Amino acid sequence: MTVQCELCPKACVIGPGKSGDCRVRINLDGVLRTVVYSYPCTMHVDPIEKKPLFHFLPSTAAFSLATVGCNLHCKNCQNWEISQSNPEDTPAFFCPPETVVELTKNNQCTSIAYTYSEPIIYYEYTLDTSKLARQAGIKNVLVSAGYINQEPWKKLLQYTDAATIDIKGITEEFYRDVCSATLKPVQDALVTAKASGIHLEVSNLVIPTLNDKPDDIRKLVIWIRDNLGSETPLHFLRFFPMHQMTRLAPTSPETLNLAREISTAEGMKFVYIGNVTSKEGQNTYCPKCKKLLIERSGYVIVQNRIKAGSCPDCSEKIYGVWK
Amino acid sequence: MTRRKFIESIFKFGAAVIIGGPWAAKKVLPEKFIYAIKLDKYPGTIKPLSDITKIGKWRG
Repeated sequence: MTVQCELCPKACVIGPGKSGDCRVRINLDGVLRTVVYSYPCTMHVDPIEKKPLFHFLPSTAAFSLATVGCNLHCKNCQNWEISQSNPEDTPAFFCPPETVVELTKNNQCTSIAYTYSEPIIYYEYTLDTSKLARQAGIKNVLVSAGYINQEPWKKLLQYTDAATIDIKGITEEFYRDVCSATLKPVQDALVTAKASGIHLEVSNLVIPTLNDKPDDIRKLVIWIRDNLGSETPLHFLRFFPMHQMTRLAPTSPETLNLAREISTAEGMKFVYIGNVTSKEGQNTYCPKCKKLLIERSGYVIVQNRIKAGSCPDCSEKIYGVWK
Repeated sequence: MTRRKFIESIFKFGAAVIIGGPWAAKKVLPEKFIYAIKLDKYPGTIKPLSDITKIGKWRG
């Protein structure tokens, strides 16, 4: 008997003994099963800034984990060795939710980051671990592409403290041709996340010739500003040739700087550029008085002048979770 | 066919559709799930806990 998985918009119809598009949700005896619950293939202690999350508990460590699999198949995926691999080909740790919480505490981490591949496809593991973490006073962070249906998304957001969602582009064509997905559900997920009250940041990988035209960037920025708010931190990330996109050049720093300028001109208050050395593009400035608030060097916070969530010079409230 | 038998056959056909329809649909249409049940056995190999205190090489 076939089953249909309604976790994400792909709505995979899965035959007996087969897996869905994500590789990790299978039809076993007419029941939908997850094969990666408690089996992360990678776990690390990362600075929260690496997610990227620049306005959420700066300088803290996030216990970061991922299983194999993803419901998107981005040709440029930077983590394709895990996101596009099968569980049977990839060794994993045995780490049930209670062990994740224990490891998080033992490693002095403030949060758990469900990251690297796609936390949505290991949904049940993410959800159960998030519930236990919340009971233990640990924050939950999602690093996701946001390709999920509304009902499970709303349920997961109840236990989520912060998310950084990667919006891949601003056209359906880009999502279809590069990611094997669609744009609209991602936009819906972003709006729902913001409305839920969690801390939200957005990233966008700028790929030469595919989504780096000034008009595309402007369209993306205007959508973010109008639907998520101008205070939403926005990270433009540098593309490097990877996976099935090895013939394109890395994004030029000039293009990233231009994306930042366009965003600022459209009213975005906190715009960053990542995967590249940039002093201004890594720092946080007060949107009102323009003074430096947080100075960063890579993932290291050199100085943080924010006082009680506000600018110490003009008292402007700065969007974020600061302690 | 008498009128009575004709009406009886219509009722029988209707009853068969009402009773058998959902059964047949269940056989043909996939059962829908949002949430999956965990499978206790991982299909790949299990590795010992190690190197988890380092910064990850993966993006994100």
